[in-house]
Amino acid sequence: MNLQSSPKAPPSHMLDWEALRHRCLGRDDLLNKALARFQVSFERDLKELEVAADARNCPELARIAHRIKGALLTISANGLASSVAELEQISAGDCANLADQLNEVREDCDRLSQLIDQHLVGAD
Amino acid sequence: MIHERRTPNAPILLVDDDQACLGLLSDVLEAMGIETETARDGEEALRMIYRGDYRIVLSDWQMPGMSGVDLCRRLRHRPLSEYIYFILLTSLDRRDNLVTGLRAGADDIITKPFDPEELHIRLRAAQRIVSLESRNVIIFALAKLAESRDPETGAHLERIREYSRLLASRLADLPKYTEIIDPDFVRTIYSTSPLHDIGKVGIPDHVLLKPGALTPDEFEIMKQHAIIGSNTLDAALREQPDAEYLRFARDIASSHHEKFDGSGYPFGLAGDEIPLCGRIVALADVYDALTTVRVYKDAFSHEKARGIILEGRGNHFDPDVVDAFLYHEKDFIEIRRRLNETIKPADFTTLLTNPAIQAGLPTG
Repeated sequence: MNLQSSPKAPPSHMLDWEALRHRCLGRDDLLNKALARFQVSFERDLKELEVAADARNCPELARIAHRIKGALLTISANGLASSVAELEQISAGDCANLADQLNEVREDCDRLSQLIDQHLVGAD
Repeated sequence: MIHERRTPNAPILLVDDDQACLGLLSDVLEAMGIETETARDGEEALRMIYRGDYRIVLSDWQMPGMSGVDLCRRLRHRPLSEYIYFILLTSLDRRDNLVTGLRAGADDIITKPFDPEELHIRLRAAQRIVSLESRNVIIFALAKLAESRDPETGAHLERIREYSRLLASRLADLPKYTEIIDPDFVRTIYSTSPLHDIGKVGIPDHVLLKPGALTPDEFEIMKQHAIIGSNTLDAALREQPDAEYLRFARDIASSHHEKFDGSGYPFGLAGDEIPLCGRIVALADVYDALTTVRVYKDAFSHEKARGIILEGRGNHFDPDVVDAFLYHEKDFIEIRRRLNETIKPADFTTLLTNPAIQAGLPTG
């Protein structure tokens, strides 16, 4: 997976900022902390997802997809969470033909990561 | 030794393999003034629960290894002395699994992603419910009520529970007892040992409050307190058969005057026939009787009490419990100093002529 190769700019609406701010009690410090923490676990989870996909390990793929989905929902990245939920659902059955879904998720993950990086840089 | 947290609100244990969610949950709750601790999977959570002092657990449903539902089932399968309020976190798309979660024993289910306001309200409800279980306060109040008829013993109950906890904690470190004594055992002996003499409420004043030596007949009456206490607690246990702490308290009340060699009362049990909690409280009770002023004697020094307890190793007392006492000797002295009334030099003559003492300390 190459998170640096996406040509598209990250649209701000990938995150429901209002919902995330509400979840963080309106506190920017908690919001930024949540996003920074998400970035760390997201990177690790995506690597694990790639390994499971390469190995065609469907149960593992479904498990990691579930965890990523939960993390995405936590930071209110609802659109991407839906895509990952779809990936999770398909993986629970047969993950042999997931190339299209994986590519789409890869691109969106890349853009989300950039968006969060931009936000955190701006917050510094 | 195992230290207990006795704050009014024990921390909430958060369990999730998703670090992003776990971290945000923890941050938000801390910002609300709610103390939290975290575990990354079911196994870690289970270890923490048995070792720590948690009343509310908030766990993700789906985790690798032991899931949140499995964790809940494990807790309900082997209840702790205090009820754990269990909340499951689950994704919106898994709401059809709610019945499974509730059947496993969950008290509440919250959907992910959490809404902080809803979370706060539900946690407040959980705290209200666990606070209703004011069991330990009631236990101690009952014990104090019984003790009020025999006020000469001062802070006897406070010392007994501290001594008992020390002994149990030390035994827990020994391989022989690792499967028997866990932190819940230690907590339970701390909270229920003050009930050991609750049966004294059934002993007539002329015996209980007699300032001099008891006659053999009076001593027979005094001995009844073990049975009275046991029967009272057994009646309560029949009302609530799942209340393990009542079973524990009953066993202490009935067996704390048994002796390791079978020469004690009320049943003449010997060795392992005597419940372990009774063997522990027996030593704690005797040490306290020896080192404090009673109607029939002055207080012994720690050294004198130590000598008597060592003489009783293997006949009056379980040798392992005596060894635990020796291990924690300095702590016993410190507890005694902290919680004792004024100690006077011992009057051995009074002690040795008291038939109750001759039959086996203490008189209660």
